[in-house]
Amino acid sequence: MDKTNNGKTHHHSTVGKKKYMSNLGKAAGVTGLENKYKDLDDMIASDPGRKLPFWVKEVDKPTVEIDWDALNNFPSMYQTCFNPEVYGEEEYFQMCDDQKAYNVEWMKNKVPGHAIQDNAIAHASNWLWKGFEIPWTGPKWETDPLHQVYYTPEEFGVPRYEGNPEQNARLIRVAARVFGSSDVGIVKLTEKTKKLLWGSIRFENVEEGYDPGDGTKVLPDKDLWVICSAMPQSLVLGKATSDSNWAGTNGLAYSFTKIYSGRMSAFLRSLGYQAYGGDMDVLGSAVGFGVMSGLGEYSRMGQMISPRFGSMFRTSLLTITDLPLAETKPIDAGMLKFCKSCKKCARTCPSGAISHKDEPFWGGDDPWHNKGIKGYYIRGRLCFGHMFKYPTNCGICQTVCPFNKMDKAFIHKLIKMSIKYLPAFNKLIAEMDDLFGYGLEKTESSLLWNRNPETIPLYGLDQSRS
Amino acid sequence: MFWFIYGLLVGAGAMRLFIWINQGLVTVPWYGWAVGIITFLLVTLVIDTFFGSFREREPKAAWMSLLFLGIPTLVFATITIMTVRWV
Repeated sequence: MDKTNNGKTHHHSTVGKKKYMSNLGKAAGVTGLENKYKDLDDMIASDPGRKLPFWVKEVDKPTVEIDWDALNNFPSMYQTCFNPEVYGEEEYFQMCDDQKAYNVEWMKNKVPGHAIQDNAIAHASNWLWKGFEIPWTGPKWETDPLHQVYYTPEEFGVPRYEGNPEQNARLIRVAARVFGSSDVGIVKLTEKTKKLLWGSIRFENVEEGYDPGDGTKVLPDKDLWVICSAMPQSLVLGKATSDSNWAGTNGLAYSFTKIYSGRMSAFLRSLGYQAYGGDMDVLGSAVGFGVMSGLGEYSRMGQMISPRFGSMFRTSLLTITDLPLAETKPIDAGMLKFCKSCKKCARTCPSGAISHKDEPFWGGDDPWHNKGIKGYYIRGRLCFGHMFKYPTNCGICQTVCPFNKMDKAFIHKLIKMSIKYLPAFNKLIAEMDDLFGYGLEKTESSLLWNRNPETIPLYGLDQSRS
Repeated sequence: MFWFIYGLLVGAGAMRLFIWINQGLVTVPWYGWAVGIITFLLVTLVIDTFFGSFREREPKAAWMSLLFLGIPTLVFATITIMTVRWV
């Protein structure tokens, strides 16, 4: 028993002195290390807390080939293919007008999935995604004069939180689950990984980063870690993707992501450490950092696929901190190899934007591409042109991916093991996925409004998303 | 609850078999045990996949799995039964 600072007695867990000493002795003997733990609580706290299924292997290099010499910082999120800057004002506003015209027509004609209630749920889900900005260094809020803006250790006059990198990583993971992230990966910023940041991020020899207000963001030139958080997205809504419900699942996840981002930054500041990111998408490549941190593998559709959550998470939300953290490695679960023979996303893409080539290729010829990645570069103009022109807010590629399953049946785990260890069966598995009818829900009764409300999981997130 | 009842039924069945073997009423060769264990695993997988797919709202997957996993399960079950010798 220990006495803590507030005088309360803290009971450390025990398994009996004899067994405990025996176990620690065995551990020290096996590893050749001296016992570095005080007790079991100390041993548990030193575990970073991330357990991968046995068929997911941590590797030194990601499964997607990266030429780090050819890779340069992409300018900013505003130059990706999903942003108006790529198209020019005239074309962009024409697409806006077209979308509105289709939207009105489909609403009037009550096209399934485009009735006024479908639009309503999509638009309502988007609330908070746009029109609410979190500062670069995290949120600030004031309630009333009795409450502080931040509850930082400095403001309390107490020392900041201290722990080793493993303990810190565990702390972040616990907080991430509470705030709403399915999984967390961690990447240290090095000369290589700094190339995954937007070009608008600058480093200066300052103690604290800041926002100069000129479109760039400044980070301090010291040891920094990127926390990559997988933000879950509703598969229940996503499976009705050919209608406006897709916009619902999309917008809902983004809205939660924004709240999550603010909370993670506030958490780090409250521990006494720096936090940068604030708003979504201001730091760098979500897929790039997600892949390097082992949240998932790069895939044919250009997005990241998680071995546990498939492609149905909205983004890898990035938060940068100076809290020392135990890094996570890239993973290999055979998923990119599976993409080579599957092609379901490419086959179902209504705009033909996704490559059908067997092997990934060095590309990056369009202005919204980045060189240095041997991947399946998508034709972004076709993708976004279709998605934005018609009021479908298409997300078919993401939803039909065979790695998205509700995970109520054990056989999905067996299939994932086969994908890792028996890739010769990949093509057969992809064909069976079609044959078994996986993909979009197509029946009228499966649409959102006909469901028994009590069968819809809270926030649309069933257990397989976490 | 379902798997609890399934476990009870399997346990009761196994106990009945052991009693019969003890009483000398049936004999099972070594390969009978091997095929029997595979059959048991397949039956469990078929049940899990069939009902699991319905819970996933994938009825087509449920029926297809019954077809694709059910047929080999029936074959294995038949072989298992054929290996059991009634004395």
